[in-house]
Amino acid sequence: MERSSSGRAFSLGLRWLAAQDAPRTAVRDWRAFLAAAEPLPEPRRLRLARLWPLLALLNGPLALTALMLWPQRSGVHLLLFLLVFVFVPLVLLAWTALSALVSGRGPWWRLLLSHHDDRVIGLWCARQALLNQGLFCIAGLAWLWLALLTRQVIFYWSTSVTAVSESVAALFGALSLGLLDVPSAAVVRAAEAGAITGWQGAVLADSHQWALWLSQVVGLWVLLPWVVLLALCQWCLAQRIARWPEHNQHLRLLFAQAREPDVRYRALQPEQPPVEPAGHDFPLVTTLAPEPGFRWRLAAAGAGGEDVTLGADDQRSDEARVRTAARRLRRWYVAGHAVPTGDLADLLHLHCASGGEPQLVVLLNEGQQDEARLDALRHTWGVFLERNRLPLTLQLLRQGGGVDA
Amino acid sequence: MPEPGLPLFAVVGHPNQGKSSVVSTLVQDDHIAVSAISGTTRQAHSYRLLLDGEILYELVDTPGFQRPRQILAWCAEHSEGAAQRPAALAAFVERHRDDPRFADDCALLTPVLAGAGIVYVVDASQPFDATFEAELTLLSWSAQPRLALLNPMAEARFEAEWQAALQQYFSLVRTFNPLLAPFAQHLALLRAMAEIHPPWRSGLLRSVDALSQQRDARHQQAADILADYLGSVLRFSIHLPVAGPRDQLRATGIAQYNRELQRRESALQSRLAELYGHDKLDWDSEWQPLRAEDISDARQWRAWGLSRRRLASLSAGAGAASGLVLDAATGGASLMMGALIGGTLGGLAGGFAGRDALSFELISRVPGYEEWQLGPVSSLDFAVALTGRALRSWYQVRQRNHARRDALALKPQDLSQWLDGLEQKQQVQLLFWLRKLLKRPLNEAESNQLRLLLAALGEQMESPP
Repeated sequence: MERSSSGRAFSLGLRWLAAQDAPRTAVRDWRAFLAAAEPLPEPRRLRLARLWPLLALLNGPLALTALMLWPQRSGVHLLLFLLVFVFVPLVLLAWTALSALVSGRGPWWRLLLSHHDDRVIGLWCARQALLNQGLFCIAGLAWLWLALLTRQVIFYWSTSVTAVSESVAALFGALSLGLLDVPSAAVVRAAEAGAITGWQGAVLADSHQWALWLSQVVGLWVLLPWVVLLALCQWCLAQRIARWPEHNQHLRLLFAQAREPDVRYRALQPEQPPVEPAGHDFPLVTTLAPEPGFRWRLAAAGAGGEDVTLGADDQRSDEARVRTAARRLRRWYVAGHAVPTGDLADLLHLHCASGGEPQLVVLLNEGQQDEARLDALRHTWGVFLERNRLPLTLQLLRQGGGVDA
Repeated sequence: MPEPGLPLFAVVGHPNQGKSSVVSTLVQDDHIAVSAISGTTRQAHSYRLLLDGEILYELVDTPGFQRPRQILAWCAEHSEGAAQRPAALAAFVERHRDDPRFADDCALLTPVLAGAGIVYVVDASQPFDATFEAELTLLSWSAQPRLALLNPMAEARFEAEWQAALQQYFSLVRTFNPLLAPFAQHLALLRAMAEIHPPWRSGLLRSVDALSQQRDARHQQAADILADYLGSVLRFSIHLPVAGPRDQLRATGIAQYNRELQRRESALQSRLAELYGHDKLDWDSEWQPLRAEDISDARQWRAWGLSRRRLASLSAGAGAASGLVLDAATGGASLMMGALIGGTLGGLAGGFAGRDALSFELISRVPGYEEWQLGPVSSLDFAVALTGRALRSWYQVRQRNHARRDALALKPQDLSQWLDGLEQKQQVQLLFWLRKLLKRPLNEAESNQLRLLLAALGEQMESPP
């Protein structure tokens, strides 16, 4: 059977419903998401459900054949035919279409197709049911004409009760909505039924007219609504499939997981490798013998008379101060909060070049007493000394230690 | 660099002030290297915000200043007046581009000289001094639009001093903690960035709208994931062959059940983390205390649910709601007995939660072939506890900024607090749907109701405690 685009989309959607994981690669939209299901196997139940209209094609002739089992193949055929091929399909069509279009429910056999209960699957099943019912009628009609042409069946309406004949004629007229000519009933008196001959021949001649009328009634009451409902269902199905994630939580989650976000940040450079603290084991001391030194980015208020404060002015002034005191001072007191930078490295290099032997003392503050921060500080200073090629000694002095901070 | 006219910002400052943290939080990317170690960022890294392929703005993370005083001195020597300073700065970068001593400084200044707006980040817990003054002077010489961010990394002892200094150089000064600032403040920062240069305003405001919508969509999707998770986990059961004493089988089954619950919970956490862009979140360490949890021991999991009293009152409401359906079906002929009986039974079920967390029954689908079935969840108390844990997972990723690399402290009582923010009717509805889930799977419409309630509960997570 030729698959429509909505039928194909339905199949792809069902494949996702059977899958546990979203596609590996991101998809741009719903159509791309459905297309990504191509490699997944089509559910076997769907393949079977697609074949069900074939059963309807078989059922139509079977139902018509069953009518012929009626004793003597009397005129009751006509009423039974109307019941089986007009009334029941009409009720079923209405029920199926209303359930699917209004409440989103599928026919009872939906469970055989999928355990997911959503408005799309329900509507697809309903459409399939409509297809079945229409094919049932069409196959029945085709079989009727074949049987008629081969004289296997004769349609007629006769009665010997005039009142009944009038009622039935009125019913037939109503069925045709006045649009179609109803063949007139052959009224045969009971007394004449056995005595008069030849009326059977008239019935036989009218049989084709009755069959034609019956076909028109089926067309008017069943096939026309069927085509309209089928088209409506097909249109609704296409609409619902386009918004299937709104109707099915599982599909919605898979689609959302796979969908390429509309809004996203993109890094233009590759990710930077994380920095792992290396084992820099600078000693942590609580006291230190007082000694004057350079004070890098420390408040001038705490400086002694022989200390040299740096970092409070421009770089050239600091360089001059370092050159002057290079041989006299060796300690460098650095504020714990002061991140070591190139300016400091250059001054330390200058101290070395001027004949000094710098020793670094980092004065820890309140927030730098825990081990994690101490590790980070040690690593910061270790990296600083390595990058700037400064093979110096460094001590960390706890807050409240022997040197005024 | 993006096309001319598109907003471009360079996040600059002294080393170790939290520049990368600001960028990581704003671009929602936990791959950006962030650490307490100075000099973690050695090169400029650019991030573009794309909306359907269109670039809305670009943010550049830069290394910290290394030799600002020397650069300032060089530029002062090479410029004769204010008008020449930007050119002098450009000349400095041009001349020292290949000098390893100035590699970091040049990487910082290059995007600024290319036209980027400046976002200067500083830790307000350290005093203002000449080094910072040199940095600010240099940035002002670039003549680019600029904004300063005070990052309260520790106690902001010098905030007033910094405010006074920064306001001389920046038209806008904001306080922004990249580790703790809620999402609304991220957007507020972008709005502030939109104000410093009018031609960039519309692009940045569009970014704010797009990010805001993305955030809402993520919340809705997370609620959907949670509803799906609860639907699967509360209905989960395992089958055990009749091969041994009942208690022994039950113990074996519970161990198996526990493992499966933990697997599903881990899967939930991974999905939520992926949804919010937390690719490197270490759930194992965050949830370590719970790994040894035994679901057969109510003392272990009860802390994640609600107090017995509260559960009883809400459960009574949910039971009454169920009973009302019966009353409606009888057209009132039941004299509201359905609601009365439902409420009483619901209250009792919630209040006397002494029953086992899971059902354990001998079932026989085919005569002669019996098996034990462990699960689904039979206790409302346990169902609420599982819900509380799932919501806690959501809270972890929802509230967490991408700059954070530490583990969050666990507070099991949050469910009760979040419920407080809902209307009484919504609280009862939540219990109503959980009770329904204990009995049967929810259909699409019902599941949608549960999703909406979970989304409302999620909104409470944003409310201050």
